[in-house]
Amino acid sequence: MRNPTTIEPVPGRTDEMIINMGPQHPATHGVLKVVIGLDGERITRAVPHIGFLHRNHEKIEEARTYTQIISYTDRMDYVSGLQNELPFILAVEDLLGVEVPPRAKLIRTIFFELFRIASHLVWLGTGMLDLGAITPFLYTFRDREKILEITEKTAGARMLPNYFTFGGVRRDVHPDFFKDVAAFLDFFETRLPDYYALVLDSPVFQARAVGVGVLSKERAIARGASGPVIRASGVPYDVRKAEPYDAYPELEFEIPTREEGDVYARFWVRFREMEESVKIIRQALEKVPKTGPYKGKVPPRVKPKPGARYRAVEIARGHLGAYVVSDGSEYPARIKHRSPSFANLQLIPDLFVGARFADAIAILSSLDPVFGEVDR
Amino acid sequence: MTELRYKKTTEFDEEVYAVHPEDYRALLEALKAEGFDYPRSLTGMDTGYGLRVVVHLYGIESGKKATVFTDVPYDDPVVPSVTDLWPGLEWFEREAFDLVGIRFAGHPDLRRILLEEDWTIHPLQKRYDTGGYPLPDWQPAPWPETPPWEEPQASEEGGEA
Amino acid sequence: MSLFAEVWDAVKAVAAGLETVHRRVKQPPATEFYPYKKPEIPPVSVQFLALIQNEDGTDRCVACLQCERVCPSQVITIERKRNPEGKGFVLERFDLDFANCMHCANCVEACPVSAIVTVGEFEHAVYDINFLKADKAFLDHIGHEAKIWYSPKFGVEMRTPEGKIVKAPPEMQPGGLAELLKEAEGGEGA
Repeated sequence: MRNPTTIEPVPGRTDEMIINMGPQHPATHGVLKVVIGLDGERITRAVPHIGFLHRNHEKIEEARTYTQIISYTDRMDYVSGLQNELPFILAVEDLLGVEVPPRAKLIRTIFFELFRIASHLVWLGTGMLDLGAITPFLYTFRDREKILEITEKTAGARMLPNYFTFGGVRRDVHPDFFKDVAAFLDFFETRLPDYYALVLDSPVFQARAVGVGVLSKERAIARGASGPVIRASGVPYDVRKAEPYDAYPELEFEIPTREEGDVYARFWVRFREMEESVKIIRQALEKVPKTGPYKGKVPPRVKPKPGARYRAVEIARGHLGAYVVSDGSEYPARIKHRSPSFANLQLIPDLFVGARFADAIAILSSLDPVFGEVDR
Repeated sequence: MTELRYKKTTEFDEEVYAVHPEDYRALLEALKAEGFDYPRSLTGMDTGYGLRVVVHLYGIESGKKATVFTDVPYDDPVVPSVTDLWPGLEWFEREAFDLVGIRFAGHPDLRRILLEEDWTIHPLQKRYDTGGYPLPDWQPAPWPETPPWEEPQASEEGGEA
Repeated sequence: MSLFAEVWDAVKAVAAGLETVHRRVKQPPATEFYPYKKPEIPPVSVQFLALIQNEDGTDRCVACLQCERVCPSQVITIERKRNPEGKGFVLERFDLDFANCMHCANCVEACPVSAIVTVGEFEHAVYDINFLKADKAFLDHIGHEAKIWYSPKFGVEMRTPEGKIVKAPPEMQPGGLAELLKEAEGGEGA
């Protein structure tokens, strides 16, 4: 069988070396293959290939009822599992016309931001592992474990909980939940300075990251980048502000942006986002009623009226959208998941070409792709 | 934009344009000039009587949202590519080609993206089951009498002849 | 910046990092000593599913097929027959293929009589994948062995050493906060 995934050498040119990076390369965060043309240390061409983890969620979901689909959406971005349920649920809620009680919205928001911290901790650990630092990996996973324990106590699973549902959440929170979350925030705030000291403020890291992989503002918008990638290029685009959902309209928070657009800026934005998440959860904890309804009135058989709806949320990696087309039956006509890493990975040719090969790894970890979601 | 064949409706908080496939690119060019600079998504889907392309756009400055869709028949599923307007839709168009089978004329690199190159079918079409096998009793629905867009009223101008 | 200054900066950065690590060294280890010390799993955690029988040994399950219908990966197979005495149905077969189960607990949510539940057990690993195909006897066995379990209808339930099924205290119930707060208020009033 022919192999269509290679790039052809330029005739007459002998100094260009063509190498395959991936799909088994440990620093690609999954199964990404990039075919790279090298001129010495410099990358001359880069062609990314994805699809090694493709499961065709969208076809499977056409044969499932709306309630069943929620447990599939978890499995797209498994690092921030719970966040992936929300755009689909919001779209179906719009089509159903379901009211969500304010307490359920706040609980959802707390979980949503907890998973943002958890996801950024995984990114920080594995990203630094790519750059050769092993210690942050051990520390971040230890901190993330606390979030997963809180999640397991209430939602029923650590990574893929299937906890959000139409009209709210599945079950009321565990009695310790608010106490646990407050304790975690206090604990996490003592840890953040350590991460700043180990990573962001370290001149060793800065030498590796400043000025590497610069992405211009115009290119970021045109390429459809989202999340920390676009905000590090100076575009304050955040779905939480642009199209607020759940309890975000009532909460006050900033969108950290930075103008440089290099690897350092993308790291910096994610660090600041963790701080903002702590702020958001603290406000939500103050506002959330301790008791009350956690689920709105939903018909037992979910049958949205015919129509189509696109809803988006800001997960840890960026703009995650779900386009739900209903034909009035129990099964959806079409569901499209617009995943942020899929769009962000299109930047690989823009960012890689001209960079040094060692910097390619740094650039890739600053994009933070998760392949469950790229390949769906 | 007056001579373009499209119908504009408002669903929830979005403007939805149903557009004739021949005017698809012209309408998107006009929308890009209006300030819809951020490509949110591009979806290909099977409507039962043909294939549909849905483009979701967003204006970073204005905060406005727009959805544009057009239908093409099964036997000639070609729409013009808009990757030169929004380079971010490059992979989305490849995905729509790969999974649904819509051809984008003028796309710089229209290859399969998620499936292997040696696949022969486009699995998201309704004529295949979840396993990728053709359904024996599948028949395409007839093309709708009134398409979602507005056909030009003045057919006596010579368009019909 | 001169080379010397750069080297000095790097040395300082490494020293700062080592200082952080040194501070962490004194903290107690976070490692779990799993095979020697089993961690406590909350009953809502979706690990093992079990069928619960009443105290008198009859099935709670009424064979309504709700769980079969909501299962996304279609791993539940139920066969039922008409109840010879009285109305309703009785179970003939209840198979659950844990090898394909995606642990979403939709079946537990859908069960109208709290028959299929999540239990606080997690040791799933077997040498042969066929051992993961559970039948009714196996699911009943897990239900008998379980000390604590959860289902949305009755909340968290426990089995006392005498074999009685009782409701767990509100500290363990999801949504038990309402009761706890009421108790606390009543306590202050009295």
